[in-house]
Amino acid sequence: MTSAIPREIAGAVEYTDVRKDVTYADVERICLEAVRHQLGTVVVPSALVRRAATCLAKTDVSVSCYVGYPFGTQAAIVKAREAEVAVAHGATELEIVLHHGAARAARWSEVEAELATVQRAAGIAMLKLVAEASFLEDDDLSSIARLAADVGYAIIANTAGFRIVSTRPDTQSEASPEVVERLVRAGGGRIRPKATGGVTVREDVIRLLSAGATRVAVNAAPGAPRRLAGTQQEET
Amino acid sequence: MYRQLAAAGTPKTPEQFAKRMMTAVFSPAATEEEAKGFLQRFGDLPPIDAIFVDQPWVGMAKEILDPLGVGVGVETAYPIGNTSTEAKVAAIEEGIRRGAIEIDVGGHFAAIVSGDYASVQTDARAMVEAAGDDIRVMVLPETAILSNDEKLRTLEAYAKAGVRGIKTSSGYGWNTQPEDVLLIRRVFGDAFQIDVSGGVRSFDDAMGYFEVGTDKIHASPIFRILEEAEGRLS
Repeated sequence: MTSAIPREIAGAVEYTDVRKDVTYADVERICLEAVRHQLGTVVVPSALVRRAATCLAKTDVSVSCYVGYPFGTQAAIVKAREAEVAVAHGATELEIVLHHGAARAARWSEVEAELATVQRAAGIAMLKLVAEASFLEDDDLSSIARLAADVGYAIIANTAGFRIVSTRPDTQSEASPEVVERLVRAGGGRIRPKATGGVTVREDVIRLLSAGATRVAVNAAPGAPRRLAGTQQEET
Repeated sequence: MYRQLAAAGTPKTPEQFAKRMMTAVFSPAATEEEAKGFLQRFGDLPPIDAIFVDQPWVGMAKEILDPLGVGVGVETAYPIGNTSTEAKVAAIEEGIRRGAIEIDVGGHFAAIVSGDYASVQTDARAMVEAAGDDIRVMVLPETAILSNDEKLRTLEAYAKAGVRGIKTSSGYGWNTQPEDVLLIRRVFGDAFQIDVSGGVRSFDDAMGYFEVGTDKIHASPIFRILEEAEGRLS
């Protein structure tokens, strides 16, 4: 079966369902859809890496794993262990949530030490860093991007996509061309942007890629491939 | 280490009430200085049971809270829970090393909703073994989004794994109902210390949960609730 999702979009999609109540069957469906539509990556939490890696063995779809999701408040050594085990279970990409408290206080040596600790544990996995852009000043975002690039991170994402303050759903970030442009400026060409947050339809993916995103997280809720293909494809 | 405070009934004084309350540094995006400022506000209040902070800040928090008689807690696999068992064990070991008194850990939620209770039990047993008697580990089943059958099967798996304490929910819109506490007490008696989190906004909310058999409560508007308790229980 050929996919109705254009190839140039499909490869940039990080297909993900980080709902707490995601089932094994959901993960299997997500993997099957990713293969069928030639999507770039499936992102899962660390307890589900082995399952996704089994589904995606001998395919071109890579397995990515969140580390320290969603708040990044774990100690560096704990994130390193999560990273190491995820790689052993078959992840080839890791998406690490920054300890934002250290970054917001401009404690750059702590930030660098954390990024390096995880990097050493990650082996050859591609590294992505989550920095909650809506909580960070441009200067801080630039410092984070520079440090991450120095340590060998390839991609910086604007959010983990989960609400930051428990009682305030509005603190859950959305992807936008503006935040991608902030990441582009912060990265200075040395680290590539990933857009995360509420993306479901093809037009949004195209807008975010046009703004400079390398990857776009797409919510893999049921029906997602149809929305990614766009209405015209849906009708043919 | 695990306390069945509910057996003694509802708190009768502001001090008893406070000892059954917990809270957390108000935002994961707080800086250490902001966290310190928050913790220092507890200096003039009756000591609560514990305050949860980012793992790297346990040492800083202990300096402020140990003299006040308030414990320091950490969380991991929170609030989502689908973190590898190995990462949870690492967090528990790190919590012990840094001197936290409690760690709240999300259960293997994907396994629960997939009917894989063997994995729910294995995951929980690894946590219990890592914790030993060195730290109180509270496992979160997230009762608010489970059917009663799922709740009971999950807690049965936890009981078999040796879990002694559960925190029913993580908050984040998933709020425990008093009926959940009643259900767990009716079926499991005193097998678990039961803590509740999510949606406790007032002294009356808190007392409602204590009345149905809750041992401790996590609440974000902690200052307002303690102030109300001072007025109502003095």
